[in-house]
Amino acid sequence: MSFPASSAPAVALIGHRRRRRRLGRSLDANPDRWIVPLAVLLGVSVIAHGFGAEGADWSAGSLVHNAGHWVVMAVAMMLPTVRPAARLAALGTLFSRRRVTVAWYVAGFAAVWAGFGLVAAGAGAALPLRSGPAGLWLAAAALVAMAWQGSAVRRRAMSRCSPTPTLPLRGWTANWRTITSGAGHGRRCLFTCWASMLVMVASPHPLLMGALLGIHAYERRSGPDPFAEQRWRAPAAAYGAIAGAGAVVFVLRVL
Amino acid sequence: MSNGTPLRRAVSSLERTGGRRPQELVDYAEGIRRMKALDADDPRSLSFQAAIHGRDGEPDSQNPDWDQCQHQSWFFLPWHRMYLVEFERIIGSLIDKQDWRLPYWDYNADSSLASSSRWNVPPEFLDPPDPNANPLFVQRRKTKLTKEEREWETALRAREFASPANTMVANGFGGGEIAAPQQFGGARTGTLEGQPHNTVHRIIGGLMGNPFSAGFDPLFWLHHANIDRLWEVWLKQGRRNPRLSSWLDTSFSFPTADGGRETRRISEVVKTEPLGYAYDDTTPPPPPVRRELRRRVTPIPGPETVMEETPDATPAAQPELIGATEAPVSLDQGVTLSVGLERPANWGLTRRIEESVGGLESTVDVEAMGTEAALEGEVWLQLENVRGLEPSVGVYRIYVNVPESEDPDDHPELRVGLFSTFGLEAASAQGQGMTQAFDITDVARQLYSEGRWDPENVKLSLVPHADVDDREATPNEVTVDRIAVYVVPGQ
Repeated sequence: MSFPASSAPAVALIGHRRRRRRLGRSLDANPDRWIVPLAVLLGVSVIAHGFGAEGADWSAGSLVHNAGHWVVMAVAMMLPTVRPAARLAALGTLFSRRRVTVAWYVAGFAAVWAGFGLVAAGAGAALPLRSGPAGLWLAAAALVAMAWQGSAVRRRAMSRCSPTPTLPLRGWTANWRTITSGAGHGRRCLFTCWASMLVMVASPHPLLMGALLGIHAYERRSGPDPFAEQRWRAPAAAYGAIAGAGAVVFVLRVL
Repeated sequence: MSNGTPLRRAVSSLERTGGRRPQELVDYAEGIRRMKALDADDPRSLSFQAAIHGRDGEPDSQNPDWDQCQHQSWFFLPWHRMYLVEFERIIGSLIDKQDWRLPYWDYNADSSLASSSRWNVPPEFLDPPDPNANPLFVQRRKTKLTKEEREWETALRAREFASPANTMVANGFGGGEIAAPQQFGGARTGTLEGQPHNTVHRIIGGLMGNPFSAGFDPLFWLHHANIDRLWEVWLKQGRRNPRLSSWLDTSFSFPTADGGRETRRISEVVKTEPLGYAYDDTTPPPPPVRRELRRRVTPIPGPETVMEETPDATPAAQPELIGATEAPVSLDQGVTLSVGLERPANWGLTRRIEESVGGLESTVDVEAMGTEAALEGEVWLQLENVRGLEPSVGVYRIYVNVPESEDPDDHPELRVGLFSTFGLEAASAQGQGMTQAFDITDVARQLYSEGRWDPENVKLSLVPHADVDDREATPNEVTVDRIAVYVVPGQ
């Protein structure tokens, strides 16, 4: 098909509309496509910030600054874990609601972790983390995480971490249930992973953030079996190594 | 023997000349008697073997071999295969016949070839009705299966082994994909597990009716041998097992007859011969014939053009939800409700109407087109997150569009399947309950061709089918979070 030269703007407009519609329908088909890029973006900003003068130091910066840092970090670390459930939630709704379902689900989930970020920032400011012996807080937090990792309660919680929500199909009831489902997922996730984030409270260093992301990725890959010991041993050993590193730092500082 | 591989044979085909018990079942009874005589902490005892499947109460971490059965996921079939192999070897070891093989209960045999007794519990398991004199006897079993209860052809229609983790519809043969083993409530029930597996468990009842006691019933092992055989039959239709390493490389470990342990990866059990057995009959059923869709509207031309312009805008391979109940439903004593369906949006249909006919829309029956677009594919009805404790109803019959004020029993042609509550309590306690899907394509097409399919008002009836046995069951509410209808592209 060819068009006269004078119709070029109209053709461009049609092309623009088609591209927008194509993008929209592509997002309808894969409505979770934006989650991981967003997490990466937030993660990069946290890391860039963390390697600066203030990022890994609770004593530097105001409470508001630290709270902002924490909210972004907690959301960045946890967003990838919600992607499969958000996708399933969306595929279990009408086609026209897929995109909005993912958005509300992730919003509910992120709100829980943002709340945790605020609490963690407050705790970081209130506790004598800076004045205490360097490395010891980290070692203690990692030991708590290691013990929690191996507990039967956590392993059972892990199996319920990613539910498949069944949502109403229309209206604000659907929106509200989507938000609360996402928040419920976030709560279960928080209950399962609070000890892991305790390590970040003790020492919010970007390298630790990377290590914890690695542990979470390993767990997601190896699955939620609450009875298989071999599936929690490696993460527990990783926390043990972090505790050991904290102890070494402490000893070196003391010496 | 088949190429030297010992055969598991149909229990109905075992030689019973002169009223004699088949030697295979005499051996089996002796093996069970010896297993029962062993201490409960001996891994070869029947008590221990049953506990491997499941024990009453909370999962027990005291013994890592207990509470290991895999249900409602794609691990269901390979786990039970390994379980049966070690059980079979324990029996062979105890009776000192290493080539003894477990018979299978062929309740699914072709009715035109079989005597009706084939669908009954084999007589050796019933007579004499004394557990001391007859190790194969247990009390409170139902002794017969109707044709409806033993229905199995529908399960074998499934095209894929697993329902992928990133889709909602439980239309896989062997269950839903999950990352790692989980005893109950992990994902979605496969078509074979739903029926006949769950149905036969719950209909037979007694010890068989509960996954935490089922292994104590000697009939359990023959039932599962048949389920294992049906996996072979399904493969014979040209189907394939999963190729994902998350399935193939998952391993399970079982205590062995010689006091050791055997750990196998799933990739090591996808064929039966290396495990030392084959089945005497794995003939597939005739290929399923779909009811044809009788159209009422002429398809609009031009989808090829649209597809060419926007190749990724019409991902027609995705299942799509087109309707569901809006609130949780109580199933306990049955329920009838209506669901409104929307036309599928993801199949290029809307674009075809918008772009190809434009102003002609008013002259086209868009709703009928939408309905036909849905019925061109498969239509699945899914019960999502069914929960309950000790339900007083064992099995529900599911019907579509039974006419007002008529008895569903008078409309077997509108029945789309049976939902069994086998394992419901465990699935509710350990996970989100049970999710199971039913292929309603044929019924929907039939109703549409008769002008009785109104997408805005599809009536679903779940009718109690069979009460549990004479156990003292306390009626408890059975709820389903949602009843949903999906369309899945056909082949």
